[in-house]
Amino acid sequence: MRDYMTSINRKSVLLSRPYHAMATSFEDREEVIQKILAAWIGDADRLPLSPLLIGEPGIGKNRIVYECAKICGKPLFIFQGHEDVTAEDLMCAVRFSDDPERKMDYIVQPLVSAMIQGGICFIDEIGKIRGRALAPLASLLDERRYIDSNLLGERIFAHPGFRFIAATNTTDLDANALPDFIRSRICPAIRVEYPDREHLNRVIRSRFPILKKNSVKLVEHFWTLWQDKHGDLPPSPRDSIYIFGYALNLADRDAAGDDHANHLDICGISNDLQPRHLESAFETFFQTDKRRPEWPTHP
Amino acid sequence: MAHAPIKVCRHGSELLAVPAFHYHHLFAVEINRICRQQETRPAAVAVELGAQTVQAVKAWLKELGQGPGCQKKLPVMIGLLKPNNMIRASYRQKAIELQQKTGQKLSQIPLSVLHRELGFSNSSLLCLSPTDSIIEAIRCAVELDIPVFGIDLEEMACGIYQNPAMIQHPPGEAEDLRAFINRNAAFAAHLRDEEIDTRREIAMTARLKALMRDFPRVVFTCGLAHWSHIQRHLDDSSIKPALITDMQSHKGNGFKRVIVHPCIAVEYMAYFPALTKKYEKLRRPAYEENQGNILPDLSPAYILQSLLKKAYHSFFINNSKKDHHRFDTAQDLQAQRQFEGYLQNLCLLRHRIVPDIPMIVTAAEETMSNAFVQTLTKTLMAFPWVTPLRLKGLPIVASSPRDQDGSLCSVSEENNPASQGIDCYIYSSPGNRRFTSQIDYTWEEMKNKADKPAGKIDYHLYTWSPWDYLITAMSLHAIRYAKRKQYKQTTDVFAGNVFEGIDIKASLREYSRGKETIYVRDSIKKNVCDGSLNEGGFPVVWILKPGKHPGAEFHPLSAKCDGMEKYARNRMHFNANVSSKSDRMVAIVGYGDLNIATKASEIAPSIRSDRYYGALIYHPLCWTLRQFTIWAEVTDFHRNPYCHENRLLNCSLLEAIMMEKHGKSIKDYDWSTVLMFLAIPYAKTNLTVIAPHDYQIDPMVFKRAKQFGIDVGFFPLSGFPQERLERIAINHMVPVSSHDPECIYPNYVEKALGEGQTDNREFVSERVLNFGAGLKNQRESYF
Repeated sequence: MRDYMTSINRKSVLLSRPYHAMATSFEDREEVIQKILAAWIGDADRLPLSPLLIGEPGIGKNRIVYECAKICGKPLFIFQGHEDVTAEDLMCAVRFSDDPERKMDYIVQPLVSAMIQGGICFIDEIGKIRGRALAPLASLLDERRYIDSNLLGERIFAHPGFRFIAATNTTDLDANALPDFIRSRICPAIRVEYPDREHLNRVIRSRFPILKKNSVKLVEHFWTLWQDKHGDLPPSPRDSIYIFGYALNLADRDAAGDDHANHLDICGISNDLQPRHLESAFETFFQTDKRRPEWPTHP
Repeated sequence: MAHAPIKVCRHGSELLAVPAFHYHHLFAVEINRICRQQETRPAAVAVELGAQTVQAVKAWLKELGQGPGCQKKLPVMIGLLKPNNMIRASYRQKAIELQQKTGQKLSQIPLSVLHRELGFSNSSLLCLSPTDSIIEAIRCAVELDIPVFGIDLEEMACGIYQNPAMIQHPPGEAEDLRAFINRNAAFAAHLRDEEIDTRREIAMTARLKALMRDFPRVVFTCGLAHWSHIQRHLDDSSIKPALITDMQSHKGNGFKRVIVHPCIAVEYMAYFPALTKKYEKLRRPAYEENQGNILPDLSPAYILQSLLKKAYHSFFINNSKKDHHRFDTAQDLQAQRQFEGYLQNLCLLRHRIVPDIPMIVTAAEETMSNAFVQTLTKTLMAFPWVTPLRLKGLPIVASSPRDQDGSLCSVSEENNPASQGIDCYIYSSPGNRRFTSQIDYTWEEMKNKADKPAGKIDYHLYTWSPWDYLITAMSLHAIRYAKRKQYKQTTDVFAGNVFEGIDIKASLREYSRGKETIYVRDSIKKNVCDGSLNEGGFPVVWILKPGKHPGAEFHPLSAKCDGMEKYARNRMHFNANVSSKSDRMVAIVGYGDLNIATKASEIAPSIRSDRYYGALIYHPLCWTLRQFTIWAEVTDFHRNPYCHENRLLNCSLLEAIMMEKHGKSIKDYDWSTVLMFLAIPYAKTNLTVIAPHDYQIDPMVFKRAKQFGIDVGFFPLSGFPQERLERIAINHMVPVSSHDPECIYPNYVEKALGEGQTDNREFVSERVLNFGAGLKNQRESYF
């Protein structure tokens, strides 16, 4: 815990911990990564920009940020946005101390931790945060590069190595446009599109090397099933990974036989994924779509 | 720039090679220099194209007035389209399986399936770009009147070119071109498509060897990626000289001459069109010996700087005079530095000295306002593009509206550039670049030429009632199930955050029950459906295909008010409103391609078919004239725009609405956002948007909607069957036998369209169909 303690003007504060992404292979997306890195290049004369990633859920925005942090070799601090975030939540919180000699502990949030350590602060789902809660970012993301915390009673300046990035789902921006003072500071606004078919095939193959034997056939079958259900609407990487993951679980269950079918530790015992497993996975995953009101064939 | 070209000597003959970045002006300049100088002037020219293709290019260049003693500029952008029948050899098994699976021969399987499954493209396109070294080499050969040989294979499958290596972009004039080639040829070789290029390189080498046997000096240009392999093969004695058929008199039949749309053409020009313009201006013909170096005047960085200056001037100076642009201008002034810095950094990461148009426009889109992006695009794309009028009505190749991966193009009919055209999958030769139009640019010259044919006056045609029924029913369905973000008030026990204040009532209530609990108020945005909404949910905006559609335009459709007067409940009030608001009630604003060729319009030329990419509907369309009158009255003439008919023809009405209600111009926003802006002032409490699920509504729409007190609801297109969506995208405007009280259509219209007049009526509820029945004194019951 001591490693995560620092002091701001002689006030001891606890830092948030950086996130270390799981090491999985990452496919393509060079163009978006280049754009983010281009935005982050900067110095005292030319401030680094703070990009905003916009895209559908499950499309890989977070993975892109993890990859960028890895490339830069900087600690990544993630703040999860939601509707109840207040301005102070972005900066600092207080809790009863575990240390008998202290009454309270200040805990600086991921944003401030990144500012102090010269890391990357990633605000996920920024579109869900109310406009007024984002007010502290105004002074941080322009040439002032500081924020004022009422709770700490301090002005905190950002380390020169500090970088900022945010992401939002397209639909959140639809309903809750970012206020102008933030919009003008968070730029470039980079759109993350659905990956193409080839890219997605590579994602599936690299994520599930167990499919090696008949991966081409299974991936083709996946596309046939997807197109039957959704037409030209592309799947997101998350959809694809979940479907294959679930289909593999079904295959494991089949392989385990009736006696062990309910055990949760049978994962990975089978590498015999069959098209029928994929079909069952599709069946289960897209049952929920039936809730959508159908276009009437007749009033 | 090196003044000693790459030289390979064999048996007393010398080969002067220019391995090039396709379409990059530095290499075209180098070819031109070699051909112009007496000491390097070649006896023959060889290029990385098929023999027939080269002869087709040569024949066309001669027809365009290129030749010995003629100094003419090349029209830009022209191209040669050639049919392709080749599929990659490695897809043989897959092709067999596909035929087994579908039970059809390859020739019977739809092109889209062949393209998706086997990467097949049925045409290849060669752009005659003046800044390409290959085109420059052929041009020089024509000017010097020396033989030119295409030494590549004539037909090949579409190559797959990955981008694994980062290659430094060619240097400026100060650096040694030879050193650049030596440094980057190995990296470029990684871009090759092993399966296809290996055969090509062996064929090219064998033919080069034959040419070196016959001519004392040969100039050769090919892609940089092939050079290291060709160089190796030249030393390989097992590759013997090939037999070269004399094709010099071949006219190049089997090729289709086309004009390439500017949005595609920019991909095949060096950096930006202004550079090509300058190149053509400074270029000296090959027969004119001249030692002058034109490169210092062809500095892309300098040209870009002046283009940016021009764009800033026209945007900031001109817009600052217009009130409605002040907001954008102020924001862009702040963002200008960010835009330039971002662009500079992108160049740094992509190993480029100067960015090209797609890079500049994308960076601007991500940092600046739409209005600035449009000004910038217009400035960068300013160029004397060749039009069909100048070239005997040649067809135009443009990106197809149905394109998904940058290879589906449409080729318009000859002498009819405005026609919808035939879709075909195209790969570019050489290089196989994509055809995706990355920039939103309207080709003004063509827009004016592609006017509707004279004699077809829109307001004598009516919408087809099955279409009216269908789009009305689908709109009402969407209104009912559209998700609207609404604030819902909630009360919660105080847990450290007072949110929107203490809920005194709830706290007191608890206190009176003996509990000292403090409650706080909060409002949370929730996605809710309002199933009770019906006509009140209009206007409805349909975004069927978002994105750029070159040539598409807005098209308002309206009802004539003079026929409505007799149904008015209060004629005086009606006349007072109509005369003050004009004589036409706008019902629909469509956005799309007008007058497209369909089977129906072929059978009955009086039918006009429009393809809509989006539409705005102000009210249900399936009504009679009486019901339209009632709608106008019960909504107090506030739910539709009214105007004089002459304002409908040139869209000045739409511009006026935008300016009057929003202080913006139509050109300031994307067309789909414009449709929403046109809807907001005429909504009562709700606006419904139906669009693809990943469509992002411009935040400005929400801002304006909030100011008008309007809720914006969203319904995804995927909520409807695809065939219904395809049906509503085509609006047939048809003649009628009578239109009062409702449209009755002649029988031939039914036959031509293959639909009955009352088809789709069953989708609309009786309540909507009977709108206004016995309404006399029930004004409030509707809204």
